[in-house]
Amino acid sequence: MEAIALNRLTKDYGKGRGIFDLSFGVHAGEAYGFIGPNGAGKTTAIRHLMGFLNPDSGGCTIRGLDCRTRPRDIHPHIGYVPGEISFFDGIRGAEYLRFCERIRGQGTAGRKAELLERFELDPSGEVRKMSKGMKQKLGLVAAFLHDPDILILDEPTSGLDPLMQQRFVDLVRMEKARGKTLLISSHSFEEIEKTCDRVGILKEGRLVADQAVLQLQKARRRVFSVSFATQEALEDFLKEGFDAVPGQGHRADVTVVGELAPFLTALARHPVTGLDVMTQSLEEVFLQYYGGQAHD
Amino acid sequence: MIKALLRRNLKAHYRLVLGFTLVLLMYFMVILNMYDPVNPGIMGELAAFKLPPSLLAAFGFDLEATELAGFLGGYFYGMLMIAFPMVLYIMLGNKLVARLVERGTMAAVLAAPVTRAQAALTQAAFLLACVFLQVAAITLAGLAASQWLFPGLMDIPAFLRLNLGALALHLLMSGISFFFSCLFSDTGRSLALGAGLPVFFLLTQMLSKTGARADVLKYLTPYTLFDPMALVKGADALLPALGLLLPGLALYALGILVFNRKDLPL
Repeated sequence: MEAIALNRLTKDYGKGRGIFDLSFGVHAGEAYGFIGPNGAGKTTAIRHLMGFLNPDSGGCTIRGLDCRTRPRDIHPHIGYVPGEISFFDGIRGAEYLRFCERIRGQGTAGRKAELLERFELDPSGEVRKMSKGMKQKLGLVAAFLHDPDILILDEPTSGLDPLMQQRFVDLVRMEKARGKTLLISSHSFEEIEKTCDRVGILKEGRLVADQAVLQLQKARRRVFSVSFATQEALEDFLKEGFDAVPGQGHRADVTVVGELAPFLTALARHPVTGLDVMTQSLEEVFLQYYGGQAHD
Repeated sequence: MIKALLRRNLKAHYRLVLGFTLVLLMYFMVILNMYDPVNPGIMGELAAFKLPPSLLAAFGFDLEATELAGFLGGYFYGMLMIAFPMVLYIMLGNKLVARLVERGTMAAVLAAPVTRAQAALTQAAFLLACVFLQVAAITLAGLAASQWLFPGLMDIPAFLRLNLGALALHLLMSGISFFFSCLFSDTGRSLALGAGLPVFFLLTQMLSKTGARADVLKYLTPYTLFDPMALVKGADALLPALGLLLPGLALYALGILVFNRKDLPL
């Protein structure tokens, strides 16, 4: 049985916003990355899983139970980080964690200390005075506190510095090794690549790809900007048969799909003076992933 | 009922609730102190202002009331005992549900193994407890202080009828605020109706008392059913006052029902 299952889930907010006919499943023990640009519907799907929204049609289940009607039976097993974490007015960090323990009747002191240490968080102060990163850490600690079997994390690393992002990645890997199921939404491929087994790509409320991370990496397209010593060197390189667009100053933009080795060995045969990876907008990356898959 | 949430409410709102209770008690003691059993017809303090009787009537002041319970009915229950707690219920009602939903804090509650009905019921119970606290504080303080300041002058059944009627009215006022707090997921709309409606009813009631031509306005506000002077005079006025109880409690129930069904942007 799937730990998490969405079955033709539809929520139409009008003007093309919402999620449409969304179906996918996450097996127990799997880490599923949920990727899409802002407004693609990631949070809407996650809110359905938490039972906060009523589907227009279709539905979703966790551990085989309907998310909307069975929160009491589902939520003991769920850890949740909302996309925008918010805390009670005037509450202190430590008080908030105690509130979470009390309302759940779950959680152990040892686990809490371990999580606080991992994220180097001192929860004694007022949440209002904490930085965005500290609030995010507090939300993460609260979600993992009761050692849940299933973690639903909506953009969990937003606001975290690179060191803390790495700590988070380590934590996710550790939990995965302990057999936990994870659903992580993100707009960063790199983060999902590091933590997840499978990726679903959401675009305008529809799932446009649902693939193993390894497979996606194979199909990934990268664009390199290569500078050559001379114009002849550039023209020699162009004869190698790569998907290259020559530019000014003996430069060429080369698109490489999947394996990098042939491209790198080809470069070695020419006098190369510079090599840059082109930064791509999220949209381009999505389109390329999607396109790469279509070429297969 | 969710104990952890109840505890959080208490911690977050006890200052507000106690503050309102104490100020209401203070007002009550001030009014009670103004009572002059020897010359109760015209209270020197108010008469000195030479205000037109219709304006005084709008504020529920009845210069004809001569007996202690009637004096309180006119000077305290006509306006202060309505308007002041109303502000508390508006603020509290809005904070207990709509604000938590708008800010997203409700997610911390509903991500736990609880049902929405439990969460809404907990918030309703907290607001109801605050309503009872206001009326109970005034009732007990009134009985004790009148016994001490004016022994034997208080018509206790009349005073209890007054407070029973006030309780029914308070349940309706708080019910309105609670319902709209449950219905809307933003404090703007929750306050627009959760505060707007109780205030409109109060203003309409005040206007309706200003003269014969304005009298028809009393049909536009349920607060008319709470008539302090009639409550003091006899038990006949109790039935209409208790008629406020039913819509009040229905609004609480409806609020919980609506919250249980709606989409929550958490």
